[in-house]
Amino acid sequence: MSPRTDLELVSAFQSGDEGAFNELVLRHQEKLYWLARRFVTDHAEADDVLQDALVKAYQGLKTFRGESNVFTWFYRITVNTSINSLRRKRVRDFLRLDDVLIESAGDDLQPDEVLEQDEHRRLLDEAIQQLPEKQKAVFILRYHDELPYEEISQILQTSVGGLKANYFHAVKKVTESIRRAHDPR
Amino acid sequence: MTHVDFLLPDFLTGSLSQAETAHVQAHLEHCARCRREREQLEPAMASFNTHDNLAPHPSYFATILPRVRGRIDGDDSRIRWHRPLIERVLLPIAVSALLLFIILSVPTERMNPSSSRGTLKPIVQECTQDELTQLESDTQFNYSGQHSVQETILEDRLSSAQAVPVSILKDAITDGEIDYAVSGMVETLPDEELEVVVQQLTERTVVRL
Repeated sequence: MSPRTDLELVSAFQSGDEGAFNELVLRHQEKLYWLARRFVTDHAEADDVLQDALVKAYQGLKTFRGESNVFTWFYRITVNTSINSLRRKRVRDFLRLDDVLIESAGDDLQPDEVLEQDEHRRLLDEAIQQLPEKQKAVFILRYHDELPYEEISQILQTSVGGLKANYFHAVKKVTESIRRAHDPR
Repeated sequence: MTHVDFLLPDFLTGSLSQAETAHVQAHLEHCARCRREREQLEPAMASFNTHDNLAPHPSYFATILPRVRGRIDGDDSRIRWHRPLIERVLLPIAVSALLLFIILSVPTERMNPSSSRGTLKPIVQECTQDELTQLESDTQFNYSGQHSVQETILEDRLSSAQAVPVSILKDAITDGEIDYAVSGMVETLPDEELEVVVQQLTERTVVRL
């Protein structure tokens, strides 16, 4: 027997089959985790975002009308939850300095190559975090998740033309930011 | 001639259709501007994907569903039976009002030059060398004036400031003017109110001196 499609699972869930929701989660959780992780960078925060998003999805699924692809809909919820998580973090950091974590290089000595890679990742994370919300979302969805513009357009409710411009500007800003960090002149 | 900037990121990751790829290639052959753009983007784009070696432990994914189910089942019963009206409605409103009040009041207080000497320090640090020289001579020779050059410069800077620098607000926080416990309340803000607060913060932390 072939596995049920996303829409069939939604329909089963709406008819009272709780297990259908579990199946949807298991099917999409890994991609959604990476989506959140690329937004918030930290594993623990990504885990929080993912859980929040899945709880929201559970609540919304009861009235989901199938106007968009189920996966797109899950993506949209995760993007919005990630953006809100970052907003909360900004407000928290603004109000509470003592809890701002300063990441150390770690106690263990590491080979130069690993340190270099860590440094590059840190610079990249910083550059992505500096992007405006929309550009950051497009960057993650297009570069990392390789979603087609039509799908991103549904997730972010933006025109395809606007998305292409956003993606280009995001790539340019991140590139420029990394270049400046390596060569501050 | 229409440049192909917006297609370059997808061109470099091989995400364009055949026709689009051919179009970009043809354009690059005779457009120096877009070639320069590609040369800048190409090496950086290849290095963007750095997170895959930070994957969580494989067992992590097995823990997601049980925890989500736990929250769903817990939330359901709590919402239905245990959360009183005051917790569901009044508390978030009170917290939001308090938070907004604090955020709005701090910059206003700091923008008043007479309210705290600490406010002036970062602004003085922003002065140019010429302004500081002028300040020094004013302090020595014209201090008795009711409206000295020093005050004028500082007042000009204060009045032209559209908002208070983040550093000043952070000083206010470390001075104990904001209760640290408030930050915990951020968690209870509904998404719509959070957006308003972030908007307020953005407006008040952009400095145009």
